[in-house]
Amino acid sequence: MRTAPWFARVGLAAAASFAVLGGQAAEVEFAAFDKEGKPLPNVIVSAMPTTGAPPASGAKTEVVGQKGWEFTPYVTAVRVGSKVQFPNLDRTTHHVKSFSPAKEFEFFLAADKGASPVIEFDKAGAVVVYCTLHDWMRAYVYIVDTPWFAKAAETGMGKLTDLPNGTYKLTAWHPDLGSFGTPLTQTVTLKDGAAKVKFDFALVPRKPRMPKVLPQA
Amino acid sequence: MNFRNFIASLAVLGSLAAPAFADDELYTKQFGGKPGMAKITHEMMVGVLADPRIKDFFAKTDIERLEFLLAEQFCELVGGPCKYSGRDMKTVHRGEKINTAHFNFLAEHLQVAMENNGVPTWAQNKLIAKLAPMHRDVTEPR
Ligand code: HEM
Ligand SMILES: [Cu+2]
Repeated sequence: MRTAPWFARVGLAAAASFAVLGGQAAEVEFAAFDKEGKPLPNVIVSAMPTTGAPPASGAKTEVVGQKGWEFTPYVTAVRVGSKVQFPNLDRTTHHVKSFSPAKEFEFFLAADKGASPVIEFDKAGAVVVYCTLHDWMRAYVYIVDTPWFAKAAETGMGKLTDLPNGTYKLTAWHPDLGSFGTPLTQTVTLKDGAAKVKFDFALVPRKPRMPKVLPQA
Repeated sequence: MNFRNFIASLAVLGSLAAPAFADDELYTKQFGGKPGMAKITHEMMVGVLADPRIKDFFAKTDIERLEFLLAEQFCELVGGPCKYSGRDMKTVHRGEKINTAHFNFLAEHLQVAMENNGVPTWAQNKLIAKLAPMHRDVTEPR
């Protein structure tokens, strides 16, 4: 009898150990749509295992700049414990403020001073960031307590990677839901490869518009 | 309900019945602090936007920002640790042609929201009493 070639044996062994350890074999590909069936960017999808706690990884430091009288990016998702820097990249003053229950903060960023305050987000939830001087300026920081999350691109699509096989509750949030709207949810069971899911939101996105004529700064 | 009568009749009751609390307790305990006040202003605006008598005023308004400013303003008015960061009442409402009836309709939605969130009457009256004098700056004679 012929023995299996070495690479096949190695492959089998690897697959077996993956199964035992709950290997990171699965992905979730999502597509989000608005009420009119158009692709919906800026949706945050996160995955929470239905049993057991997710690993404690995934906190990092992100940047939300103020540039051209806008916050960029408009929407940022982070894990609990992450930090976000808010540099003023404009030659004008901004007065940045959050009044959200998940995190309150406020700072006055004078023009050209290079200030870049850092906020640590220690609670899950949606945080709305305003500039009190420029009404239309708006940023959202969405804080999740799992390492598995992603933001939809302009195409409304995104991907969660490196998930161990298992059953997850997927939550999809959009900035227009703010702090009070209920996110969409669905449950998926992952077993190797990529699961494809779809989220149909009952909203048409509205983003505050920058005025054609800017106020004197 | 007539807002003016409501205030007139309850201001008296309110002052008699109000327990002597530190102001901060009024905000945190009776209004539920930050989450509570955010919910009250949100529910108030949900009511306002569903009310055909006044919703058209807000057709072009950034509601999310308005709720934030109201929560901040109400927090300050009941002695909470907040500082209103919006424009002054006269400037914002100038030219809107808001009359006393409109003012009362909006106040009703606030009262319903406070009621639904378990704010005791005496505490509701504390906020109402602060808002009542703003009538002058918000409304215009027809
Ligand atoms: C005591 C009563 C009231 C208070 C405390 C109040 C408070 C406020 C605040 C804080 C703002 C936002 C200010 C800013 O943008 O900087 C605002 C805006 C506004 N209020 Fe009032 N308000 C009152 C009554 C009313 C009434 C009775 C109406 C009409 C029925 C009204 C219609 C509006 C509208 C349409 C805006 C938005 C204007 C815009 O889009 O720029 N308000 N109000
Ligand atoms: Cu600004």
